[in-house]
Amino acid sequence: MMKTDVTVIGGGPAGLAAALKAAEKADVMLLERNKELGGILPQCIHDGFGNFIFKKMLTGPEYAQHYIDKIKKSNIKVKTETTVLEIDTNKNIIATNSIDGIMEIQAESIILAMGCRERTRSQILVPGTRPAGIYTAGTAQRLINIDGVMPGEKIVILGSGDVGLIMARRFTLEGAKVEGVYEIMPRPSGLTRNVVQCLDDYGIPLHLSHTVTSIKGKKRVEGVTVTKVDESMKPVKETEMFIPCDCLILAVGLIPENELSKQINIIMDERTKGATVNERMETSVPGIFACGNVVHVYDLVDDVTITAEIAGKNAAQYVKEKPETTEEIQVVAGDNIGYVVPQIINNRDLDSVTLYFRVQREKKDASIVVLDGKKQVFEKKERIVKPPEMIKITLSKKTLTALTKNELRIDVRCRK
Amino acid sequence: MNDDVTCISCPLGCRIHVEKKGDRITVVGHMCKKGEEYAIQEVKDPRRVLTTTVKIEGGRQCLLPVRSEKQIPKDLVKKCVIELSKIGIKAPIKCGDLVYKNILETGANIIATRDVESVEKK
Repeated sequence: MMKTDVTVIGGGPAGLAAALKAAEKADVMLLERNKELGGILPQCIHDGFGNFIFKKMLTGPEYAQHYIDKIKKSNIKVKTETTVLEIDTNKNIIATNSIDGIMEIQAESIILAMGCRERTRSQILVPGTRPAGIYTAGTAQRLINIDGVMPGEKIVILGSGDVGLIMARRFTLEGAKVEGVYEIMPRPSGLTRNVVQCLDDYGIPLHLSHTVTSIKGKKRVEGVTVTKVDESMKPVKETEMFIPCDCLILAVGLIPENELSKQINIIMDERTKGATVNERMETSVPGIFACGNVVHVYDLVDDVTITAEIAGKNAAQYVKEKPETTEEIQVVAGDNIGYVVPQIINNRDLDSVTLYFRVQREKKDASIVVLDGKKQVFEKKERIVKPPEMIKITLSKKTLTALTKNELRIDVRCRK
Repeated sequence: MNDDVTCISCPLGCRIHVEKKGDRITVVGHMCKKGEEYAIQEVKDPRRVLTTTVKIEGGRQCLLPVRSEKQIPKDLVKKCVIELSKIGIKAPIKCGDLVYKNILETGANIIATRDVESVEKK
């Protein structure tokens, strides 16, 4: 049996940052399923990463390289091509690879950093035949950017998530024709900057309130039927249109990958599909931390890194001394908010706590208000808030110290 | 001349209004200096960072991701990608290495955005 202070599961941006931070104070082992570290970053060859942390626009591989170089220089024990099969509440881990066979690792603390997975056709139930030529956006991205394979020539993209928008541009630059991006919602689900620089720049049409209602083709996709949807997202009769294409790309959302977390009955948040965490990024099981997209799907890798460092620091701290939980303040998602992470504050004696959330509806001239019982303890004005853009607010030590109730509520209101 | 542009410098995606009267340009709706600079550049001469891949031989993978060191005119992005599809380089490569000098006379160099070790080194 191997022993370590901290074991990090997943070597994407969250796992890399968490491992590096934890390694400042503890022995760390990093387990990664893939051949190389970096998670999804090596295939995200476009720029736009690192705006906040590095103050410049890096590409995905560059962002990953920065942390991979640091890992190489550290004492962190890295095992790639290693799959974790089981974890338990005593922090025993069973993992496997082709060299060590089955291995048992006894850790003092575990950091869950497994990231997220794309939703597939079966999760959105698109009717029709099952021909070749249907890919998720991330798979297409891997094929084009890593393997050098073009998934198709005439492309229809369903869903306007960021990866789908990025791939619309990538397909176009690589010589394919993107017939259009179809989004079931009345608004794009990706960031505005990606609609502009990936679709508008290349004249790719975005059809809102539309979805794919049928796929045609026996061996290979021959085309798809797209249909308008009404306010309740039901297809509208006689608006069907057949679009010949040889490839359908699905960019219909990401789901945190929590098979391991569920093995040990960690309390999950139904809204985020990730574990419930406190301000230290600790789950409901003491000593088991979670960070990055396994907690909730972030817009920006910078925020993944920042929160992963919080997890790493606290996991190492946990190994030294198990902190007493003194209180429990529930962070409640109030008006126009879907969820807030962290969901719980266990210790207010901190320099600051940053809360992440998304609004449910777009609002102009919005005001973000934090309430301690009925008392307003924080306000931030925003010119516009949109569901695709994650909002973060930071509560200062002064605000935290002054809290009196065991419930903290966040509302997004209209100022006018 | 009036123009509305959406800033791509950060996720906020500010809608910025640019007004040009003779030599005077006024910008409204931005929230930071980057936004102001972006908007003025966007109406005068829109530019983008180019990212694509080039073939690499003898490496642990078959493609090397690359980018332009600085922004290039938007209209030239596609042409540059086509130009870069014609070249091939050899591993090993370090992140930041020069891959193609002054692409299509834009003054921008193309650099590698990751390390690729050669196969033998393993």
